[in-house]
Amino acid sequence: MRASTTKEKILGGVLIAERLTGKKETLPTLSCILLEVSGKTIVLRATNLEAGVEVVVPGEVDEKGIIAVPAIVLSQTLRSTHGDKVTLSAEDGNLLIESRGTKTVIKGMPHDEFPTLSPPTDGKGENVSREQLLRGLQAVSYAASPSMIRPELGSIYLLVGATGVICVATDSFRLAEKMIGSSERGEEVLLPLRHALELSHVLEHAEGAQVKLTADESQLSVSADGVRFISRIVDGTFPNYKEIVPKIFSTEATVLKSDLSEMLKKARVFSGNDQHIGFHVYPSRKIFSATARSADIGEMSDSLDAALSGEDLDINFHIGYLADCLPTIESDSIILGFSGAGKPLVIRGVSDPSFTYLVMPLNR
Amino acid sequence: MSFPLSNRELWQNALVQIELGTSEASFRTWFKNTDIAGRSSGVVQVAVPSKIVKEWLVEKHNKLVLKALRGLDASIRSVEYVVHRAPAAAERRPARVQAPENASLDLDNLYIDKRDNLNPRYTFETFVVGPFNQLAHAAAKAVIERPGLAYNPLFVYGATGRGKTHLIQAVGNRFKKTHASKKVLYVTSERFSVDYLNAVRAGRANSFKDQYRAYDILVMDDVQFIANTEKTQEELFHLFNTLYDNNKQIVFSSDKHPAMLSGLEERLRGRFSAGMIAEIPEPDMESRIAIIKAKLDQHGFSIPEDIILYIAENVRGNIRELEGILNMIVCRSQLKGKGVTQADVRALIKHNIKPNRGISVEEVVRRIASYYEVNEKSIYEKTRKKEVVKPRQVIMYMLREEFSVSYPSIGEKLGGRDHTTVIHSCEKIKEEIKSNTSLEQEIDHLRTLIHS
Repeated sequence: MRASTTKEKILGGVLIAERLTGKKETLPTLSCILLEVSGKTIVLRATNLEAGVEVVVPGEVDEKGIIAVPAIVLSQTLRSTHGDKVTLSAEDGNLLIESRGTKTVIKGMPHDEFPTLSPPTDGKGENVSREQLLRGLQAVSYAASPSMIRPELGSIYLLVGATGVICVATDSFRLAEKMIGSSERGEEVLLPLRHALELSHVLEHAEGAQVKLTADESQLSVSADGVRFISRIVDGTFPNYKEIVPKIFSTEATVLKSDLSEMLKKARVFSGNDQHIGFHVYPSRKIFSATARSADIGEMSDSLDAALSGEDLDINFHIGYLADCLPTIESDSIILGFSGAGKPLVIRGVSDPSFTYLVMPLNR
Repeated sequence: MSFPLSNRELWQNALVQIELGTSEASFRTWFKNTDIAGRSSGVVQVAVPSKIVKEWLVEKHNKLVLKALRGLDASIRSVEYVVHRAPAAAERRPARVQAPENASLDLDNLYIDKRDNLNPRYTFETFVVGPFNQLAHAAAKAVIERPGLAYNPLFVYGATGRGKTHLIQAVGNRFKKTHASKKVLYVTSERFSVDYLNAVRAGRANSFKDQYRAYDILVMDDVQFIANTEKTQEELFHLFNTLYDNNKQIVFSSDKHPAMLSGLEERLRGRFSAGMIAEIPEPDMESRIAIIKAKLDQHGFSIPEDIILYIAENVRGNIRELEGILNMIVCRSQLKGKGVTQADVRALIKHNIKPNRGISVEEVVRRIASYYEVNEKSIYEKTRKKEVVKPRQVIMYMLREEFSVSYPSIGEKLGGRDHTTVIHSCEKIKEEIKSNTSLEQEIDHLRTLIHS
């Protein structure tokens, strides 16, 4: 095997692949990246058996071949290589990396046990804008539960249809929904949060405007220019969340996003460990204020300029749950839709129906 | 067919063989979290955690696996690999780490699998079996053991709130769990008609047929709503025949015995009755107590024995009402922060449950007589005019069926008649209902009239 390429390209590919190598000790070859040189390309492959990735790096190929080397050693070596051009070749089962006068030999590993990733299925699949899918995942992933005790809550729900993708995540205390395009029906996929974060990373570093999503009953495959990501999907039922999104509100407030964000920052200081904040919405007196207090630090009370309507309401929230959604809302002003005590608050950007955030109040 | 080894034992023994035939590293990587998902007629389904593993096993270890399995059971001919439906067992630990003071979204009632419409809450584990529903439960179990062969179709009927839906959904859920590759569908008859109408309107009638015929188990709830829909009934008839001929299990539920369902075509009625018909009657006292205790367990709540007894005695028939009362009791005692007393419970029941014995014989007579437009007094008289005889018989029938009044006392109340006269009248009406649909509808109307 012998091939040469630029350092930037091969390093980019290795950094994507490295994150998906297995940390399992049972099969040492899983901590490797497999380099497959053929035609005009170097294909890097890595998998942890649950998810996997294939990156195609263009290069000049002199001789075909396959070799597996530990991902960490490979990425460290390439990072500290100075030249622009890198030549990779196999020598007695080891990988020889040459670049502007430096020579490195990385010990190869047996690769006959290296798993294959199922080839892309032709025809089927939906094309989606890469950037929008990335934004969709980022807009909801913080709302998923970090544990897989209830797999559907530890996953991101994707509805992949012909005309768009809907991303939803909930940990049962709040729920975030981002619509890309509009999609009523399509393939439903539950992508575990861990793999969804990997997918975001891959999408961020991939090139090309479009990606193709293909889902079957057990895995999701995402193909971009030169990169193919696959992940196990969870078999489960995502709650029919649309039914709990309130349609009419008893109290509505429109505020500037930056105002609310500032207020939450301040309240965070005064709320202590609890991170509780109380909202006091009185449309009858045109007051929207918030209070936070803790025994050790003190207390604060702030009022905001807001357009209000509906009934008067006092309600308490967890600050973190409120603040999480603000960075993903693109409009300057936001609408807070309350439905009374003990009912979820709906947060949306003004003139942006694509994102909906639901958050439950505190019990007291 | 009898299997000497259970799936688990078979796989454990096979794994020992497989381990010998492969390296330790690869054994631990590829065979971790695997199991047998099911087997039928010589094909074993091995559940694996991901598609990558599946492809690897198919490509590299298939021979080894098959050889190990065949060594244990010579009837095994081939192996299929399916990807796990559930996440790895190690990940499932019932612990909650989130802040308990934050209210959570009410998601629990929204879990309905869109592929089969089954609600995973309805399982056999949560189904309370008592003398009253023993037959239906046993029939359902038999259906799962030998789907399509034991009782096909299974027809469960009973009044509202007796647990029909729970039972038939449990059949679907259990089947789904034990046969990973089989397709189950739960559908209400109303949804079926709507689907059919939409399909016809969109010119997709054929794909509608194919779609429904692909299921291995069809569970249809509240089939009584299909009455008087000619085309939908015809479609159901053909669907039934196709599934039945292919030994696919069909389960129906309804509020009445198939013979009592009005507005239903004869051929469909006959088919409903072809398999097993199981009634779920009113739960008996012991069963009600068991149900109350099971529900309280779910809530993690306990109330004194005498109050349980009191509730069981006073809330009859409808299990849904029973649940409602329990929810109120739980909610109230949490609110007040102390246990409930019998007086509280009495007040709750009084305000929330409609008394079903609060109507006098005279009132029944009055209502039925006015329905048939005959003089109320003539019912009590010894007249044998034709226009009076029928209402009188209907009254006797209703008193017997709806209020379980004894034959002698019915006779006594209706002008001192002999109890044999009453028995004759009741039997006569009962017989006539079966052949006379207009009488049946009259009885239906009267029933609502009396209970309103």
